[in-house]
Amino acid sequence: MNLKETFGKKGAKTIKNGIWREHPISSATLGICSALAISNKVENAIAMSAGVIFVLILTAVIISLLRKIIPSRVRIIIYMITIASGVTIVDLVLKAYWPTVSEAMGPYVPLIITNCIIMGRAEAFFVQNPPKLALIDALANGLAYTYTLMAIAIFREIFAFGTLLGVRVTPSGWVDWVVLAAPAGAFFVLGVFLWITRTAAGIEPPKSS
Amino acid sequence: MKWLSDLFDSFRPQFEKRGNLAFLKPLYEAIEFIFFYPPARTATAPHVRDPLDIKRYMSIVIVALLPSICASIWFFGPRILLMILVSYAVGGLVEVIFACVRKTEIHEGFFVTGILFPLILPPATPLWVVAVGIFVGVFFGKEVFGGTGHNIFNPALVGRLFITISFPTILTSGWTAPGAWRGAVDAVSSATPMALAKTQGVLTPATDLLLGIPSGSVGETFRIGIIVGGIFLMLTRVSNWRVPVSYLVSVCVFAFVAGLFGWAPATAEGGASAFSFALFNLLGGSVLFGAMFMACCPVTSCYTLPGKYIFGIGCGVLTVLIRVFSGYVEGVMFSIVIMNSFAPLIDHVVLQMRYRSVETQGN
Amino acid sequence: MTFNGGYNVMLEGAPSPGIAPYQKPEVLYLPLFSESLDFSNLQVEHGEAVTKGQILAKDPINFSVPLLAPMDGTVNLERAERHIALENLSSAKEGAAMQAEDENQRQTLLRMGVWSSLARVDSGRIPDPENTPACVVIPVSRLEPFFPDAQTLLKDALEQFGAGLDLLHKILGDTEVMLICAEHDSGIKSQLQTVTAERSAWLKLFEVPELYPFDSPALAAQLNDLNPEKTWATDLQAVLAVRAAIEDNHPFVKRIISVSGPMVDSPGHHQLPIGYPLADLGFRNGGVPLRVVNGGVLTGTAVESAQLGLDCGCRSLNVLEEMTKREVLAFVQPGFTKRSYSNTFASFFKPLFKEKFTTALGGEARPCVFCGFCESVCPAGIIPHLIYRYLDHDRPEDAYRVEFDKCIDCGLCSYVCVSKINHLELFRAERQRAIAEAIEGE
Repeated sequence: MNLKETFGKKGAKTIKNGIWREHPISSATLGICSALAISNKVENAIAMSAGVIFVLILTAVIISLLRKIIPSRVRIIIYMITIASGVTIVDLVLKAYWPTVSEAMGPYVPLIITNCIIMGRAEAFFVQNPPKLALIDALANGLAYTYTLMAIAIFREIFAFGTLLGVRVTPSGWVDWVVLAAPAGAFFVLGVFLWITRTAAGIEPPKSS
Repeated sequence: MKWLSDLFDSFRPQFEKRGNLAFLKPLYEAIEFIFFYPPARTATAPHVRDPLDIKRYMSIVIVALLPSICASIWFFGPRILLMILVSYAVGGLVEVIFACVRKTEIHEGFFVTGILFPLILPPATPLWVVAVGIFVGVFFGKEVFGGTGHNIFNPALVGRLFITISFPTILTSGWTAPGAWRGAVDAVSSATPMALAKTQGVLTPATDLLLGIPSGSVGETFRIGIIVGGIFLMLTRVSNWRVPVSYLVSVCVFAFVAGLFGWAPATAEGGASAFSFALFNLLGGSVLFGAMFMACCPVTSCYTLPGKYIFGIGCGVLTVLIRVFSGYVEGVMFSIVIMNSFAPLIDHVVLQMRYRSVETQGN
Repeated sequence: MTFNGGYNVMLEGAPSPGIAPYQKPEVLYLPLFSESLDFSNLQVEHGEAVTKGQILAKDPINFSVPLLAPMDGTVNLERAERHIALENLSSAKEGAAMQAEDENQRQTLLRMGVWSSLARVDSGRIPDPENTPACVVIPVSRLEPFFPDAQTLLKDALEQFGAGLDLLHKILGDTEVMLICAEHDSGIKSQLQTVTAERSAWLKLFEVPELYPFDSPALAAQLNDLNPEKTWATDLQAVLAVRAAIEDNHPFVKRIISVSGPMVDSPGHHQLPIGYPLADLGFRNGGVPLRVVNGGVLTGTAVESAQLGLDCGCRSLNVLEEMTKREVLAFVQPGFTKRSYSNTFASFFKPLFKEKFTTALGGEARPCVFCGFCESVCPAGIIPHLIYRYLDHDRPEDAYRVEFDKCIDCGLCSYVCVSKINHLELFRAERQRAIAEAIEGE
């Protein structure tokens, strides 16, 4: 598939930036909070990613459609209302159809509202671009968030619980690495992930003065 | 020694810029420089230098640890040698990889970390746990900060902390009784003095502690050896006496205070006296080993002189607090790591106070 | 008065007292440069015959400090690069130096080559002859290995020394004078006490422990709360030269120089004219490569191979072996022949033993491990490793905030450094930068 043919030049650039060059987690260090908290099990990571992608798309479409009529003074409030409605939908859907997952994720679903990725993209991109580009950007960023969360979650679930999606994958003498189940352990994994992706993508850390 | 230098000369071209193994140059140089010092000379004043270098500085620590190492092999068997070997192999591998990627020299600090780490583990720790611990210790404790001299935490303690939290069941059940491997005692495993004090209120006698009769971490049981090694380190000025002394004194004082307030564990015959509780806290557990070999690590403790006292006292207070009030039986490791993280702040405050007058004069 | 830090570098080859005779030179090579001076303004032509005390060249930057002809002879400008060679030497009749009319005594000192022995304590530069110091500091016992022995310099010259001090005091506008003397140097101390007893109004004796670098004028100024900008330093020989210049009309062209260090067969003192050929001193012929240090081994500069004769600022030459051998397993050897600040060598048990130091770095350069040795030897009470870190990160303002200006350039921090970091080099570079900046500002 040729990205340029399918999405146009700008679209292709948006995709590349979103999932690699300007990766929301490794480049902009956004959404760290949920990445640390929800990446202990793959199941939770999938649910969280789906929720975030849904809210991202919803916000992208609404904000970019309304971008010309949103007064800049109250734009943050408009973002909040949009995101909050999306999150409420996700929360209720989860509660209705996957109550166990909803239970496991606890307050983190409502807290998608404060996920910096959505807010950040809304301010940086959705409000300045037409709906098609905004949609592409939302998908790209959602994808980046998803694969990061999945990578961390797979590593953590195997080492911390010896399972993958709840299925035991480790040999019988396996000892769980308890520290990786705790958010503290996620720091190690996320740190290494950031290191690898930043080195690979050539992202320089911001210089401290 | 001519043949050895010829041998090195014959291998050297392989590791030079165009050689096949150029990427392994740090490893080659590290090995060569162990045998033959680099022919480095002073370029400018001062034209003469003190003959002490970092290799000797670090090896003095290993010399100071020898009594503990020998005693631990006597107590827990040749398995200890295997643990040391694993620790050196895995830690060394991480160090070599980092040096090769960064194209810097291999720094000698790892020789100390590699031997300290097995000495603070329970004697029955599985070898793979040793490997994981030293890997995390060297990788996350040292290398990610930039290597020797730049680390914030003591790498050996980071490794120990990681596996303590990761594998609680293994780390709390590995207490072999000293001498069990050669049938000197009947019990295969026994509770450590700190656990006995916490759960049953039994204070192990000081002479037993000094001779290393009760169980404990590999290097911490033979306390006479630790004291001798620690004093040797202070006499050679490799460790600064301020940290260990203030640490040990504050442990005594605060344990005494805790005893006075009746916070000491209740024994069968009634409360232990404050004095015996203070003595037990000084000798029991890994306070001696931590103070003599861990807390005084120059890189991770404070570098200002008043800061060293504050650092030692902070370690002492935290150790007693954790021992008396927390769910953990031993608090040395946590206290040193916590104080490690405070060390830069303490230094900053000390410098601010010391040079405040200069600044106000300037303004 | 508290003295912090300090350390004795126990180097082998101290100069024995007494002045040894020397071979008469065939030719003199007068370098047109020295550590602090640059005689770029030539006053003579090729082939010109000069008399003793005649001005050969001047340093235009440093108040036209002159380079004097030490003997009668013929100038040869082509024999060696950046040197004035003086050939067909003959001993002059004494007192041949000319006397200009209406010259004040400071100008006499300048013309006689004595003024260049004065230095400002804050920058080490030659002071302006128009200025007047508040105090002149004169280290008598030189504690850095090795400088001429005070006993040798003062032998039979105590009265002349006193007269020189009187003149210096008067010429420099009734300045105070302070002599620095080591506590244990009892012979010299009693001699100096007789000198100070008669002049107690303006002459002080400052006793210091017998540890390097407590003879430093900068440190003495700090410990006695003297303003470093108004404190000058000079040395014993210059005081004697002041008297000789004013009373006897002798130019300061001959110095007593100690030739010492582990690689000198018979370390001692020689009275040599400026420009004496280094080759005639005979220590360049050994089988091993040598390093000749102009000054003490801790703060001096290595004599370049291009330099052929003694420069006019030279007080001592110390000869060390250039280390070319590679030691085998040096870090596990007990080290009976190595002396260290840290007590990690077996020589710890031999308290009065002297070491045959070489120029070996003794290890590999490593990052700082905060061992704290530099701080504990520092006589100025500052934290060298911290200052080094600030300067290395290009933050000089922070370095000055932690009292970098107190540094007296003694080099002990570099000497003891376990990681073989050369603090002194960076500190000197920073100071030079600051001085250059200050001059530009003027």
